[in-house]
Amino acid sequence: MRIGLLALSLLLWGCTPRTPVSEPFGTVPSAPPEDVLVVGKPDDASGLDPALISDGESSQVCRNLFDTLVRHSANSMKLEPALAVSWKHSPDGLIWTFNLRKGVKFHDGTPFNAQAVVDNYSRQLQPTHPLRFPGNRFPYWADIWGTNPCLIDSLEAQDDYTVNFHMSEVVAPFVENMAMPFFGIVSPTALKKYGSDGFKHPVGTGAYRFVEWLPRERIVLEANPDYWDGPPAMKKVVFLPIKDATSRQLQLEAGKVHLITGVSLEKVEKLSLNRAVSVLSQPGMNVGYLAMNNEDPHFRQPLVRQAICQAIERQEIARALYRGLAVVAESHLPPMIWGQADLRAYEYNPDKARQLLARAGYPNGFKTEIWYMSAARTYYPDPKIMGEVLQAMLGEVGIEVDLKAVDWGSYLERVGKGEHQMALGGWVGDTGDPDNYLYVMLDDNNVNRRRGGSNLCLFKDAEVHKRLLKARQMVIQEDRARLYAEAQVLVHEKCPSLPLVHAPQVGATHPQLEGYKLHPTGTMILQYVRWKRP
Amino acid sequence: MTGNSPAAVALRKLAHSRSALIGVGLCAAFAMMALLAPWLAPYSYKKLDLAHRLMAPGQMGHWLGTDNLGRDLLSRLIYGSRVSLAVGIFSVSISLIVGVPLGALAGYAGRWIDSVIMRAMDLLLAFPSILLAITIVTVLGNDLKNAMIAVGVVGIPVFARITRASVISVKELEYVQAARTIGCSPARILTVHILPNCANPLIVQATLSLGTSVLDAAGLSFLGLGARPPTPEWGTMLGDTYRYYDQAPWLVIGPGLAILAMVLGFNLLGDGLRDALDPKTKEE
Repeated sequence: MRIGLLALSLLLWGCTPRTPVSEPFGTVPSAPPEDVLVVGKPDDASGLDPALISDGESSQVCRNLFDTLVRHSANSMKLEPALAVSWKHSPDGLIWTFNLRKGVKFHDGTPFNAQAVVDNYSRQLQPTHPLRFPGNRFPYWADIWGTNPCLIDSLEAQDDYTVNFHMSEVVAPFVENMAMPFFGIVSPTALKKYGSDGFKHPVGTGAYRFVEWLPRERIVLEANPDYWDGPPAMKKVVFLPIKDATSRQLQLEAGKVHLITGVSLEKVEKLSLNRAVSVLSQPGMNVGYLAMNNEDPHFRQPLVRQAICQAIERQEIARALYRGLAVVAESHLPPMIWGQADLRAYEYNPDKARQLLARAGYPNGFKTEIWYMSAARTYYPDPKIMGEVLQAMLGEVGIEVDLKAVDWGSYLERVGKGEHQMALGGWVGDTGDPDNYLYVMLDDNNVNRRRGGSNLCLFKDAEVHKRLLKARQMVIQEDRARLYAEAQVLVHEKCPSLPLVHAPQVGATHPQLEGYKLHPTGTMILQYVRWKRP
Repeated sequence: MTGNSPAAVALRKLAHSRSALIGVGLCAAFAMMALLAPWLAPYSYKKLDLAHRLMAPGQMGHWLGTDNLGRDLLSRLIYGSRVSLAVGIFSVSISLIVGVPLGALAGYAGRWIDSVIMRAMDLLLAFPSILLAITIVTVLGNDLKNAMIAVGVVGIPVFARITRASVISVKELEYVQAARTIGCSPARILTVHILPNCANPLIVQATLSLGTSVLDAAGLSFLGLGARPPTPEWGTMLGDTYRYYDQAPWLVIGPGLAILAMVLGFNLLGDGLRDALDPKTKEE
């Protein structure tokens, strides 16, 4: 009886709504004694050869191991010299010349020179290059430059510290593209030495050098004392994959982890009141969208796609799932990037959606599935919940959705191959150029059923393709902007996929950590990070 | 309940045990809940209401509050009893249908057949049950149906062992020898003469297994390997909402108590049945 009463009182205690915390709480901890930084990330890297990866988790690590020829500044899209000190193009825009930094060494002691750059780019360019090993696949190379024909025609070392790129056509965002972490320069000696296993043995010129990687457990880096841009203050960096958002936050609050990404928006308010944590937030250069497979028998029909666009209440999603911090997306292009079109929002109208479905020949709806990724992304703090909401909203108009979790490791490849019917898609830009969004996500050239392309809706449209291609071959921004606006209007009409939101970027750190800034691209720059010490 | 048939005696014993009655009551309550879910549940179990998420119990007609997507928790719990009962019954049936014939064959045939079957069962038993279930679901694919199969497979060796032990003790009894002497076929001896006399321990074990099956399936679903949304499976509900424990503890307490009550019900009933069916315990 007594136990019963106890249980009852526990139950009642549990069910009484507690007043929400609104006062700051906790104490400000002091900086840890050693110069070690522990980073908690939603997932492990998939590989550590920058040319072989295409996901943010891997590129965040690679950004600190490798340098690119040019790079973005610490917190904006402004370009600054990195391994190249200056660059210029020929009058016709077809030859780019980079003057390289002298005296830089890779972590293994190999000197950095023009040959290293040529080796790195050629292994991606030439199918028979000796440094291309079995199993090597260069997803970004294909997305950005195309494979056959490739926009980079050839490159050569003019002398030890000068490299010339010969383009097959004018590529306006060429230098911006070069700043992507995916074009980081790997030591040619290491490539030769490790072959197909190179992705486990990263050797670059970056601020940190590689110590060890225990898959799904940790990645350890140490400071590169000879870094050309000055050695970093942090002696050691440890990346821990912590899948669960709550555990990541708890570990940060407990001081076991000093920097986390993928903070769940549900917890932002409460987390920002904890003095043991400082929360960072800014609008993200990303988009989350519902990728309909345009080659699927259902979604091949424009009426069905329009119906889907009208069945989903995106305002409500932005408000409820993103705490109002997200912006409803009308295009795949985030609002802070130039080239915007004036688009009328898809109206939320379930009745209209039902009518459209009836006109398409599905008066009673149909059955389909939505895939969601197993790990949180910047644009989907909880992919499963997003899936459940879409499932319920589509259920209202008669579309019965089966939700399927797919492991992130193979997600992009499988969706790119078109194995899905509908899938949660998303993109965090690497450059501030519209090309990096519209060409990557919506162009014909990025449909690849065999190996998986980045056009996740398998959308092919001659009119859109024409504009996207033309815009990347021009140099004047106003002209390009006009083409991008036109392309977006076309895409909006044909609605190959439904843009959902532009999610905010949220991260949190130890309050004594200095020099960490969220980067618009979502990458992680740890070069300037240090502990605040009295 | 008069008469002296074994069944009547057992029922009388059951009716006199307080804990068994509680078990019967709990099981009956969940069975009713499952049968009458559409009439009992105040709301739809899958209708979202994003404007009213994480509402505390008692507000706006939500007796147990709402979950992270604004769905009524009480309705989901009521519908969840259907899922859990189905899981329990289905997976125990698998264990029974496969385990009993295997055990009977091993016990009756003996020699190498016995060895082969029982070593295979030992192999199954050697794995931690949840690990084995996870492996099976991973291979078959992530679905509630497959979770049921996994839990059922995990339960097979228990039934095989119990059946084998009973068969061995019964098959040497005189009436079985008599049946053999008058020329009954082994199949007939096994099904008509032996198995009915092994039923008691199986009934008890099946009842107890219902409880563990419900628990195992909830565990799998908690790990995201069982029911797919929006199925209101209690384990899934726990797994989806435990991170709100500090803002909305009712989301954890509700399904947690439901699982506890159902498993407790089956266990009490199973214990009661064991006492009732045991001829050595005296009728009060």
